[in-house]
Amino acid sequence: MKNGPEHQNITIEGLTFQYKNTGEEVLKDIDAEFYAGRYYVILGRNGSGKSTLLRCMNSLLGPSEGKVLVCGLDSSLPENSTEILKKASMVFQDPNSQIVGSTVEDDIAFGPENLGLEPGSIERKVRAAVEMTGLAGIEREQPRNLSMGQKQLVSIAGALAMEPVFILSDESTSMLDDGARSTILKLFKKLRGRGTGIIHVTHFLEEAIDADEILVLDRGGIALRGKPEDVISNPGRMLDMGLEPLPVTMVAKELQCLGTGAGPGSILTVEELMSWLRS
Amino acid sequence: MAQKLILESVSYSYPFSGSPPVLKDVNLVVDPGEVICIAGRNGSGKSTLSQICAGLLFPTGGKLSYGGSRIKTRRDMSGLRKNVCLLFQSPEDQLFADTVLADISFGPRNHGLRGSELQAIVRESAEMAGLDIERLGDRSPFSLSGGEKRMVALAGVFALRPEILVLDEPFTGLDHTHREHLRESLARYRESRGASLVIVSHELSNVWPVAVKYGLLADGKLAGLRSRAEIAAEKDGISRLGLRLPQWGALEHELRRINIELDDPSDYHVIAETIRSYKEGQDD
Repeated sequence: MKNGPEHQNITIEGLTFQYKNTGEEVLKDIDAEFYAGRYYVILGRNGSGKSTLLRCMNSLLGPSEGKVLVCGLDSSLPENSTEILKKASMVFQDPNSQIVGSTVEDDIAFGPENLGLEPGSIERKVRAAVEMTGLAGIEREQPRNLSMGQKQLVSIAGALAMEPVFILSDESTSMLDDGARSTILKLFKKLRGRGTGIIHVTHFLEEAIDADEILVLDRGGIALRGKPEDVISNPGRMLDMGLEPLPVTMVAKELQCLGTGAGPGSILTVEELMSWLRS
Repeated sequence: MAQKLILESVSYSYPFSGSPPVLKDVNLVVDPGEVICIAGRNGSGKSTLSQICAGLLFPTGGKLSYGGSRIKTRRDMSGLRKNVCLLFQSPEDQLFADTVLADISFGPRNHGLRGSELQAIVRESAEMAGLDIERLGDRSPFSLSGGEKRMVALAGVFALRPEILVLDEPFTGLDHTHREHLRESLARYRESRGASLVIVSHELSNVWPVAVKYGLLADGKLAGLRSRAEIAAEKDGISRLGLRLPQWGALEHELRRINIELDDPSDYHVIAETIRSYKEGQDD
């Protein structure tokens, strides 16, 4: 089986996904490649196919046409699905729908327990996930007593306990307050630094500023892809995609239209605009 | 035209033994026609506060008054409920009827409206919420997209013609198109009725273009209302509350630090024009 360290990636070739009952084509002819140790952001309006794409990457949905290889494993083969779920762990929007354990550590242990691992090995995986997510000290708490942000950290810890190559985040920040959201985004960066691939679906352009690569979906296809400064710096294009442009990109574009010398160019942050202004 | 809603030293504890107070000594004045954002992290007491403002929960301490009359008992709450309506965070909690039309009609029908008068108010409310009633009127609200459901719930609230509209996390889960749509619908309603809006939110970026005053809620305590500019100047303070200054606010604050004052800090034309004048002045 081709799933050694040389296959630390997700390869998507000509992926089309169609719901059998309605015939609706949700994804059309998608080609993409995702590598471990990188932070990807998938943007797109509601109904553009973002969540479906993510579900195709961990075998929750099988392709109608084309191929998805997760760390070398073909997602259309049912015998690969357990292994694929270990390689690419999903974190959902609402942590309440993902938490099953009566204590934080029970919940995190749920995945490894299902794999039938030795108790010592489960404990080590849970401990590592607790440390990584900063949940140390509340392992014995009941998840229902935690804040939404903490619950989402528990969900991510549960995903990490499977020691995945990729974390697939389906709008995992959308129900969280700003503080909890920034905690999750920092965790994603830390995980990227340790070699985990993060594929994060979101509506918020600010969460895409630090991405290694951005993919923008529209009507089931990849409409735009590239580095943040190339993709999200154009406010008109973001509006066409049904996305809310970053305010500074609107100001920068307007400055260019007003003919202010060279204008600030491709900027994404207030700091960049201010440094242009001071130059 | 809306009237003044006043909360004086309001507190609230849920009626379970030993429950700590969710709201402590909250003071809030909602002046007629104004747009207020109550911001705080998840669990700060925002939803409880919104339910008290809308007359769904009776405070366990303090005073509540509307239009100059004190609401002394639970029975007095009905007056408040007629004038203040709450849009729930989740439209599923609000919608229940078989069809979109029946759902929007429910409130005004309960207020005794019938026939052409009822029809007119339902159509007007749907229009104000930007809902295509011809296309969606006979559909089940539960078969609609998340954005459409929110608009049906909003039309149902508009149909009650509240003077104060309290919105609990109205932007959550909506994409940009629907968020814009919601902001426009709220502006239409506010203009036509002179209504006040109280928007409860766990983040500031979506409310920034709409709300003029901000109340920060932490652990059940509400700090006094502040202007956008005052909030923009408190970047560290708001991040301690688990909130983040939106780019609009951060930009306004940074520009003020170099003595650039903006007439409208959420209009990019105004900002760009102001920056251009500044830059030209510097280059001369």
